Amino acid sequence: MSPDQAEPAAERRRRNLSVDADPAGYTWTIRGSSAGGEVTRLHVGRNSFSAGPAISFRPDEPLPSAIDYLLGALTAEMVSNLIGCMRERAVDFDDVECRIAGQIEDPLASIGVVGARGNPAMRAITGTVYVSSDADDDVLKDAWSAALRRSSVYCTLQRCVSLSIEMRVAP
Amino acid sequence: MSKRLRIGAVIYDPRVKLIWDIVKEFFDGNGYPVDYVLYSNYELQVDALCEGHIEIAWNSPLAWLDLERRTAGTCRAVAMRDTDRDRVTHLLVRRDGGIESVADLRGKTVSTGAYDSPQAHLLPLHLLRQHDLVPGDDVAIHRHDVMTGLHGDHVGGELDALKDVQRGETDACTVLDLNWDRWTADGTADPAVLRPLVSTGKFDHCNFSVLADFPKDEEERWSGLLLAMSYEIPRHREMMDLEGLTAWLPGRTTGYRDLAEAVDETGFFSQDTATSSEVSQ
Repeated sequence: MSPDQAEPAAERRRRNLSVDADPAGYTWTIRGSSAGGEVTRLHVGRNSFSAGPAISFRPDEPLPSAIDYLLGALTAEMVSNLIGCMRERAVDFDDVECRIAGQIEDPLASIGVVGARGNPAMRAITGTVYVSSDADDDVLKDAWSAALRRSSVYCTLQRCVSLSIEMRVAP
Repeated sequence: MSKRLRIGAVIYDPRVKLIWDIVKEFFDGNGYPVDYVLYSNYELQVDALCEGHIEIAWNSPLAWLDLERRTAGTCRAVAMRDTDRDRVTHLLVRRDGGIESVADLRGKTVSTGAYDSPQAHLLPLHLLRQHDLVPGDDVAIHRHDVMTGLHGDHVGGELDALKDVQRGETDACTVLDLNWDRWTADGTADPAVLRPLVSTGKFDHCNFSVLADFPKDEEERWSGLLLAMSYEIPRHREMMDLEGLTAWLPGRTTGYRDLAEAVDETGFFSQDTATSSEVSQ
């Protein structure tokens, strides 16, 4: 194939990928809807999932709340990115577990109590990632640092909330 | 009444919201849709009821008296808990403290709950006056103003008062009978160390309050449904355990006399909280 014949194919591939020439312009979109109850149905790409109320203090809430999903997103990212970074460094591991805890500045404000004067924003998020591995500590720490650097949810939250997540090697 | 009836409730702990979720679920499921509005203090709630933002208010006894005052006595109490009737507050002393009568409290210090707690401050001080002891003058008052605006709903102030006496820092404290029973059962208080010296007269506590223009037929329908909730039904019991009752009962207003006298004695609704001779923590 001559260069003249190859160029149109490349153009066609770029159009088919539907990606902006500038990677920073990529936009994630999600759609949510509700018929009036406390369940929001969420659609992203080919996936659909449900969320319960914006916030809940009930241990038996049937669906994750928006706050649960926020903290869950961070948890999933920590686990996923650490695993990715360990694999990039050919680090063997048995298990990765992450536990995240978050607190709201004024929970009464978050449920609309009349007269509540505080802010419903997250006040602090703390957590620990446990990794079971015989790898050298320095290699694991390097993988963990790399994971944090590439974590979008972590880096976003770091800008606006007290955020402290550490990694520990489990015996 | 075509719109959803709105019930007001004061909360300080967001987990308590579950109580009103269950109440709403019950009424909605029985063909009487309701909504609830949560307030951070009773003054806001009484304002809301008077201004028509809610139709029924779950009022503390002090909020009830405030409502009576603002409505010239035309408001009504439509329901209450079984545990809201015939309560007493104990004045507790140390068994080794040498205090054998109320008169022995002269010159001593009594720890109380928040200034706006009927059970842990207003009524016991009324009791002292009935025994010719002037709080602040004849008896020093060490008040614990924990979470004011909640009319003593939060037992923190009462618990702090108990701890004062346990540590020997003050001579007596004021504790609601239900709290005394609970704290002696769970080990918070030791009846071998503390004992009730005297108790207030019986008084009533919270009630569901409405204004005069709340339709009587709606009152009957709403309260009839409420009283049908049963401790035998697990979902109802879950709510009742959180709210501290085993049954809903018709409202009554005969149990607020002593508190009304205490409020009149102190000019509670027309003055600042602390007197010059009371100490607030």
